[in-house]
Amino acid sequence: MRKTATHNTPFGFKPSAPWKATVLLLLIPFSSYSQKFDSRGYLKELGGLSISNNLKTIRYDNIIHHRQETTLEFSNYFEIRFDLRNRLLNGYTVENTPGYADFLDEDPGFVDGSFILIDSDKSILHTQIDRLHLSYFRDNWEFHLGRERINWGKSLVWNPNDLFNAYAYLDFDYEERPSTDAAYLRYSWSYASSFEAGYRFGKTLDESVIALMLRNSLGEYDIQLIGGNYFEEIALGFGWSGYLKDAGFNGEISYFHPKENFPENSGSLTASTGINYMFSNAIYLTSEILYNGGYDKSVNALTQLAQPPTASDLFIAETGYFVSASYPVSPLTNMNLGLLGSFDKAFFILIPQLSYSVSENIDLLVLAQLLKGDLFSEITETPNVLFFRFKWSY
Amino acid sequence: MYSKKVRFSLFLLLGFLSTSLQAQDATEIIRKMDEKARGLSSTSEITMTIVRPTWQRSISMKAWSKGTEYSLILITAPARDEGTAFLKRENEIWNWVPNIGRTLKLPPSMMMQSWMGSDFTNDDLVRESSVVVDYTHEMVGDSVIDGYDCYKIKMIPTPDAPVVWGYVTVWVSKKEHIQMRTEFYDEDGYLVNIMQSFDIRKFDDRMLPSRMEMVPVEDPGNKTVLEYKSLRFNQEISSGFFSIQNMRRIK
Repeated sequence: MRKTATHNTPFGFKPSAPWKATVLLLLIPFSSYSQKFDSRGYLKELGGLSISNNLKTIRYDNIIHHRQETTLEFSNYFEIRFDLRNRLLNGYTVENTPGYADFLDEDPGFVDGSFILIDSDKSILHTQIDRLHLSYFRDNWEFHLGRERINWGKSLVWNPNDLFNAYAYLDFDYEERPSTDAAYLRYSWSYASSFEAGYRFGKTLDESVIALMLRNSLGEYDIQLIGGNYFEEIALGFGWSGYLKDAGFNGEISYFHPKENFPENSGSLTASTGINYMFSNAIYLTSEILYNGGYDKSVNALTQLAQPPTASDLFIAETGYFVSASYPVSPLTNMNLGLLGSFDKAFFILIPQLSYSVSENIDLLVLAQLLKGDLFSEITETPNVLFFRFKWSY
Repeated sequence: MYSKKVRFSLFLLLGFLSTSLQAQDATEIIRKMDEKARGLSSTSEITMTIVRPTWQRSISMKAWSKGTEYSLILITAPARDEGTAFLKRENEIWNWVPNIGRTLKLPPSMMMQSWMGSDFTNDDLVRESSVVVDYTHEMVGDSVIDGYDCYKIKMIPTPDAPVVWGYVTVWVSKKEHIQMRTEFYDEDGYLVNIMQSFDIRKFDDRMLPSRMEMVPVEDPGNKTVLEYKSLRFNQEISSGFFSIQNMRRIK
C-alpha cells in the first residue's frame, strides 16, 4: 500500500481535514454504486469501385474504419457516452481531390471534434468525436448534454421532422448517423407519451435549433407534434407511425417559415409518408414518397446526396420516391433491392445489396449505387459505385 | 424477437367451451401447462442457437413478460446487435435501434414470420396467440416421454385463430404439467415441426425444461435450440415497465 496518502508527501503537502472530507463526499456516489464500464465497437474494411457507364474508367477508394464506443455509468443516475470514429482513407478520391482533408475535417457541431491526424498525397487519417455526452436519468426524466443524436424521424429515407440531425440515406457506411451538439430534456408520463425539448447550440439564434416535441399514442398510432426555431426559420410539424391493417404506416410533415420579413416571405412544406409490409414468404417491402417543398436547385446533386441534408430540403428534386424489397435467402444471407428516384426529374438510383454473416461477429456487405440520369452523368464520370465491406464487431 | 419466456405458443380458447368432460380436462391440462410456463410475470435470460448442417449462430437476450399482453426483450449478444430491444404491448410492437437512436414501430405482418432466421416465428416468441384461447383440446392418449408419464392432447385451432397450423399435438407430463413434446402439423396433416424439452430443472418454485429444441422435420440437420440461463416468476413488474422509455434504457 502506498503511504503518501497518510504521510507528508515529498512536496510537504499534507491533506487537510476539509480536503479529505471533500474527497469522501465526491466518492460517496461512486462507491455506493459499482461503476459499469462498457466498451465495444467495430472494425470495417470498405472498398469502393467507381465505374463509368462505358466501363472504361474504374477508380478505387478504400476506407478502413474503426469505431470505439464507450459508456461509463458512474451512479444510478449518471452516464457518460463517448464514441470515436476513426477512418483511414486511401485511393482515387484522396489522391485526386484537392482540399479533401479539409472537407472531411469540417465539423458542423458547436465544438470542433474533428481531427486530421495524417494528410499525405496517398492517405488521410481522420478521427471524429461522434458522440460525447453526459446523461442523467431519474424516474420519468432524462437529460443529455453534449454531442448526441436526437432522432425525431419516423420515415425511413426522408425525415422532415428530424430538426436536429437529418441524415443522408446514401451514406450507408455512416450507420450511426450524424449527431449534434445539444442539450436535451425528456419527460415521459406513459408508455408512449413524452414531452421533449432540445437546444442545438449556436452562437446566435439563427445558428441554433430550439425545438419542442409532444409525443402521444392515439389508438394504434404513435403521433408527435413538433415546433420551434430552426436556424433562420420557424418550424412546425407533425409525425405518425401506426398500422393500416397489417402494414406499417408512417409519415412526417413539417412547415418552415423564414423569420425574416415574416409576413411577406412565404414558407415551405416538406412531407414524407411510407408503408411497409412483410409478406408471408418473408419478403419485406418498404415504400416512401417525398414532397420536398424547400428544394434548392443551386446545390450540387452529388454533394447533397452524400451530405447530411437539412430538414427543409431533403432531396435533389422537388419530389421523391423510394421502394425497396428485402428477402432473407437464408438466416445468413439477406438480399435487398432499392430504387430511389423522383417524379419530377428524370433520374433514379438503383441500390442492390447483399449481406452475409460470415461468422458470429463478421459480416460481409456487397452493395452498389447505380446513379442513372443526365443529372449525374453531367457531374461525375463514374456514376456507378460498387462497394465491398467486411465488418468485425466486438 | 420479442418475447419472453419463449415457451411455445400453442394457443387455445376459453371462449369455446367444449361440451365433453374429456375436452374440459384436456383444456384444463393445457391451461395449467401454459400458466406454469408463463407465470403472472417472468424474467429470463435466454440463448437461442440456430443450428444448420454447416454452421450455427447464437443470440442471447434478457426478457421480461407480464401476462400475454406485455413483453420486453433486450439483445445482449452478438456484439453487432447488443442493445437492440423489442417491446410488445397488446397488438403493438416497437423496436429500439440503439446506434441510430431510433424507435421503429413494426408492422403486424411481421408477427407470423421467422424470428431472426430461426425455426421460431415472431408469434412463437411473443405469443400473440394463446394455447388456451385459440385452440380446442382433445385428449387422445397417454405415453411416456423421457421417463415422464404424459397426456397426449390434440389441439385444433379455432376458425379465427391467428395460427398457421392445421393441428398441434402436445405431450404434457401428468405430474408437473410440463410441455414435453409438441408436434406441429400443417393444414394437409403433414408433420412440419417437432419441439422437444430437455434438462428439466427447478426454476424458482417450479420444474421446467431448461432447453427446448425445435426441429423442422423436412430439413435434416436443422434445428433451433433455446436455453434458459435463468428464469424467475411472479416478481413484481408494473405495466409501466413496458414502455418505450424503458425499452431505450433497459440494460
